[in-house]
Amino acid sequence: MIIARDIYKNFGTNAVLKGISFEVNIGEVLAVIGSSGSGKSTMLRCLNRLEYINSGYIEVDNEILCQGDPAKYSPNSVLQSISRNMGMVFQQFNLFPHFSVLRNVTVALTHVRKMSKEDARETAMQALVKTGLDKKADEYPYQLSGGQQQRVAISRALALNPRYLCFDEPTSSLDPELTSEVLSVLRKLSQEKTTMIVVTHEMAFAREIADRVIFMDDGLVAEKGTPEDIFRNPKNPRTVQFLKKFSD
Amino acid sequence: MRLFQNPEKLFLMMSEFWGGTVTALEVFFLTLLFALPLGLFIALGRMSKNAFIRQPLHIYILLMRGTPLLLQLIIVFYGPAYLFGINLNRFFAAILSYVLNYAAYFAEIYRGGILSIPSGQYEAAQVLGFSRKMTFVRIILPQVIKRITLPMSNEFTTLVKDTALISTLAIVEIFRIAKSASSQSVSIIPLFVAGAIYLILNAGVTQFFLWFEKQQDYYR
Ligand SMILES: Nc1ncnc2c1ncn2[C@@H]1O[C@H](COP(=O)(O)OP(=O)(O)O)[C@@H](O)[C@H]1O
Ligand SMILES: [Mg+2]
Repeated sequence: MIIARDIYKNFGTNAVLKGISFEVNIGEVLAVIGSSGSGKSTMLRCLNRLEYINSGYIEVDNEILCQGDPAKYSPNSVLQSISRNMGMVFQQFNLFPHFSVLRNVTVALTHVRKMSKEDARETAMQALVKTGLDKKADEYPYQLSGGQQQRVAISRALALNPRYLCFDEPTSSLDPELTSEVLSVLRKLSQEKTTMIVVTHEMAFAREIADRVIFMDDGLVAEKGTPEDIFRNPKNPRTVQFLKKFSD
Repeated sequence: MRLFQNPEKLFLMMSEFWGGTVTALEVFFLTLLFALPLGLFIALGRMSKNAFIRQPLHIYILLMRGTPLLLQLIIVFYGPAYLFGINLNRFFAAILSYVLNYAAYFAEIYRGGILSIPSGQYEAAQVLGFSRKMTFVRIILPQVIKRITLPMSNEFTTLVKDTALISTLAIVEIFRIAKSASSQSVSIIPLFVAGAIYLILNAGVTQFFLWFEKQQDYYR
């Protein structure tokens, strides 16, 4: 379980997270929605230590990532053990262009997890089968469509078998057509009870697969609840206003 | 045309040219051997967060690129002799100057290449658990090498021609041979021969880079 309390993060004088709290339970899908600039990416990046928070408390599976004001991070061994259980999929895929699809997925297995080549290959192929890309194992990222590239990125994250998978707008740089192929991979993962935190602008999709939804507004969690709560009976006027943009 | 009526003289000239070519190749390869890795470390230092590392290297690069290599050769060789009475080996002083000079140019090329890699590559590697060193060696550097191949080929070509400058330290070199042969035989042919040698060497450099680019064609 992830517990985040009163997270503050600013870039210089720009306060981006202004005291947000949330938790993520094992086996659930948490959807994070909100207008652009509200701090959704920053929140995910803080969980993955791509950004460091200024103050607050983050705990992952009873291990403390950081706490206090100013935030004090745990020793490296703890940070690494936490990171091993976090996966991240980016809006821009961030595949390694000089590696084949297979190598993109195996490289962390062999070089970080110290798996043998054969084991890494097998694990990677399983992860590629999951996203339906096992046939493309020997191709290079530039030879794939955006949707396929994003599915490779998902396989790459899955292969490391993290307990939590974070997605930062995984379909925002894709055409509607390619969006659906990526969303169906996420749908499948949610059916397998993969714990996921998904930042998305796909409201219908969030409503369909999320167990809980967070609506972020201007660096704050403006509202959280079940998809039913948020999408059918939003309480906060800002949520109402935000959702209205999608229903038109 | 007197030169060609005297086979002995022609042979002597050719063997001198051969020696000069070997010297040029020595300067070329030794410079690359040391300047290529040194340039990379200078580039990394130049991008360091620590101003005590970054600023001196900034000035170093400015000096090396901002003054003529000719002057640097003279300072490196005659400087220690003049100031401390240390007599450096001429060839050593020459190589040292070339390495220091070219490393500065290479550093800026590396730096440009490194800065052109999107931050997403570092972030993906970090999230996968790569150390910083592994990220650089396995993910960043191979892509940098592909991106800097073209500007590097320019520098290599210039280096071939710059080898002519070692004559400043009275080291026998292609162009010097050509000039003395030319004045002895009252002919401009030796100068053309010298030109042809540089051209042939650079044709080799060009061929190498064509091959090298092709090696990296498998991805974009
Ligand atoms: N690395 C950064 N440096 C400075 N400002 C940043 C940085 N990353 C994000 N921001 C700022 O933080 C705010 C929130 O950004 P972000 O978390 O990306 O929002 P969202 O993902 O909800 O669109 C924006 O105003 C953005 O300009
Ligand atoms: Mg974002």
